Amino acid sequence: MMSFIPKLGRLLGTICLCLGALSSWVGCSSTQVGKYASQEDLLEDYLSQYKSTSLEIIFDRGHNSHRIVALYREPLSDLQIYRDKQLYKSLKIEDSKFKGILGRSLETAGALVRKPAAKEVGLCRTPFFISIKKTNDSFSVQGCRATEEGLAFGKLISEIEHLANSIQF
Amino acid sequence: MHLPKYTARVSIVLASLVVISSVIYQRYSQWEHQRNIQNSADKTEDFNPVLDSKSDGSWESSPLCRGFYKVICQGKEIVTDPTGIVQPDVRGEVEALRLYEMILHEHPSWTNEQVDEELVKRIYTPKRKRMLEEIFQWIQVRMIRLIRKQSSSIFSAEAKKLLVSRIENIRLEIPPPAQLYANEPDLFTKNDVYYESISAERRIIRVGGAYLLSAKSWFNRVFTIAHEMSHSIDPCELVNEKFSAVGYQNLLNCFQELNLLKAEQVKDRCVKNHFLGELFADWLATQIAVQALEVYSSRFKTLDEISNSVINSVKDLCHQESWLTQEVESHPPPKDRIEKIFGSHPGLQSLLSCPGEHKTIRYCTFEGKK
Repeated sequence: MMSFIPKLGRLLGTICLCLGALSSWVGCSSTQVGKYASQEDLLEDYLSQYKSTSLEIIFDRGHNSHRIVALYREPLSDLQIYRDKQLYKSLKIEDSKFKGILGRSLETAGALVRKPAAKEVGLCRTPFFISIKKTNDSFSVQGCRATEEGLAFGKLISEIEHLANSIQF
Repeated sequence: MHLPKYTARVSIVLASLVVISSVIYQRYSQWEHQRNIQNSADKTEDFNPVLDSKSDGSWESSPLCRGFYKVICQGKEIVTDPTGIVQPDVRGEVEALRLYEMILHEHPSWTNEQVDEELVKRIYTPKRKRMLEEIFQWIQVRMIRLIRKQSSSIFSAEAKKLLVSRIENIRLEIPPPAQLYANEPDLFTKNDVYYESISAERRIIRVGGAYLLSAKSWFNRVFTIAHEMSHSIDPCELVNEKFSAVGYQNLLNCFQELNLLKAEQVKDRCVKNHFLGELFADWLATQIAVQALEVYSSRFKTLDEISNSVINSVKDLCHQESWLTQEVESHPPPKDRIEKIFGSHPGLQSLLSCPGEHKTIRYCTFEGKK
């Protein structure tokens, strides 16, 4: 997982991941959030530079692990869906679809930064991790599906999977 | 991402057809063979485990006695036990997708919610739902019995009360309605089964739709659900309860003696990962799974039937891969899970007619190493 965290953000990323290992999962960002006036500005900035952006979503549930990767490419971007470290689907998506996925992921991740998804009781057995990278910056959050924010994350995954099922034609 | 509804659905139908065909072509070259297996598995969904029959008890020892991991994980991909089969996870997910596609084809004007509701009805049928509920209750009774039968030097009355109440508190959440899984609509087409404490009063087990299509073996369902239920009382879940009991300490000491658990993992107390909890859940699920095999034992007609039932109990433990490092480290390696925790249970060794070896194998209990 560390390989996805750029060098500049590695220290902050490490602290974030260690905190995430605690029983309650808390949203955490490795980007320099302070340089943006608001979270909305951050999202806008990332979206405006979507051509240099990549997205990675990981979620575990029970004993299964799921990973979704979206990489901007020309003329078509890559959308890859992995299951237990095996590539399950690899698709080419249009520019607008890539931007759509990125936008929804940023919204979901942004909500977690504003309101960390702390689990009140027990361990989180449905952790998720969203990482968005662009040139010289990265933005990553982690959370638990058994929290309020899990609802938004569930919808995000559902939308991406619907898209993946419909994209081949 | 927001395609017009009709176009999206038609596309989903077509795309799913291609995905399903390619996956089936690539991964299932022995399709006809598996269909035969499938047919035999479908017939067994009415199965009631607690029925009497006779076995002659005169068979040789099972190949499993020479190495559980090798036979289970490197042997045949699919074996049939008297109650069903366990297919690779991806197979159930493909089947679930195919159902989804059929519904779209039949009802192109339906909303996503309507489609999900229908999918749920077709996957979580009353029969399958009832079977899961029966398994859940069957396990619950046995887990509680296992706790209650321990002596007061192992679990005090207070400790028993806490453990039993936590087990009694678990709810099996099985749709319909689809709304039950509102925060994870993707679960309908996934193989995932999991436990989660939502609040102090609400502990749940959820079962992915694809799991019902891929794992039809009663023995696999017993182990899988028992493992998840065990998390309600695993040492990691109990960290905040300030719970301590001689029974748990004995077990942890024994795990350490058998090199299943390292000293630093005990010291860690579930902070860095949940290894302790996963090890405990495997161990407790094994106690229940062996009981399931023993209950069924009078119905086994051949040694192959026993071996296949044992194989299917833990067939899906062969692969353990996660992108989240801490999740990988949370589980004992598949070989330890299958061979040292599950396979070395004396009851299992005896059931498989392993030649006298079970008498010398050391196994962990709440009372320590036996």
